[in-house]
Amino acid sequence: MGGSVSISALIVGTALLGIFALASLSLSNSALSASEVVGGATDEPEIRLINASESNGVIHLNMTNAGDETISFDQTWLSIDGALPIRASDYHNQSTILFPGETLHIQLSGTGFTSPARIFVASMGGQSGISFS
Amino acid sequence: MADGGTSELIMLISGLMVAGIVTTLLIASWGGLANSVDTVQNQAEANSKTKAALTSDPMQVSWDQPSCNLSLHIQNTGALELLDGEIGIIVNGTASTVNQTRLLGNSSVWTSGEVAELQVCPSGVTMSAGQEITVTIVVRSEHYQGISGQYSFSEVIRLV
Repeated sequence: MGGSVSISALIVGTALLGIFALASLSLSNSALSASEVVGGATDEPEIRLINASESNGVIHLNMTNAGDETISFDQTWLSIDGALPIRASDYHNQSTILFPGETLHIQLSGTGFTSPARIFVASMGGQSGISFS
Repeated sequence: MADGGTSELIMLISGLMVAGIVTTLLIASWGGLANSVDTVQNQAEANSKTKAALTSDPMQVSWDQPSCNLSLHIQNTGALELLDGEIGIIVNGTASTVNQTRLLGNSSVWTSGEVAELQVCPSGVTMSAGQEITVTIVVRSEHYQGISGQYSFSEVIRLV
């Protein structure tokens, strides 16, 4: 009698330990995935247009990266006077990246705009707009 | 002695059966719970990788009342590819139809950094140049671990 009860208790105990181990493993995986989700969320870049001017069809821009994320000109789009956005790297190929804290003078030629009034830039959620001086 | 052995055997078998049933029930319920947690987790992960933002100048968004055409440009700012055929738009509280979608810059798929142009018609809504309205855009991503991510954002725009 005593022996069978011990065996039963052993089986139940082992099963419960197994379930506990599975639960711990699953919880550990959940915590890992949750940390990946939090870690994967990137901040939006902070892009700022300092000034803009146009001369002989060439647009001159001073642009600064005021955030902590690098900004790729491949992912930066400019809209002049509300027109169809154009990719910055299609018109500016002297550099491909605007680093945090960096200010660049960018010249855009061949855009087809003369005497524009306003330019707007958008890059991966960061936005800035300015009037031409 | 024989009676004692029989009752002991019955107790052992009963104990084993109860243990087996309890174990099966616990494992089954835990399995369901684990699947449910996994699904929620995958959904959260897919949603966190799905993002979009307005690329149009919000101060100058083109609106043509006679042809019912609002032109919007949306950039994929997430990590997953977005589905350009599954976009929802609400213009000033009115669910609108996306009449046409095209990707700018010679792209064939709406990957991260690429911009899509949407021609939207908010049926039955009268708007005029200079008016400031709210648009809400809902995008959906490709499947990630069997689940599609969703993201929505609202912007105030001025019509021209």
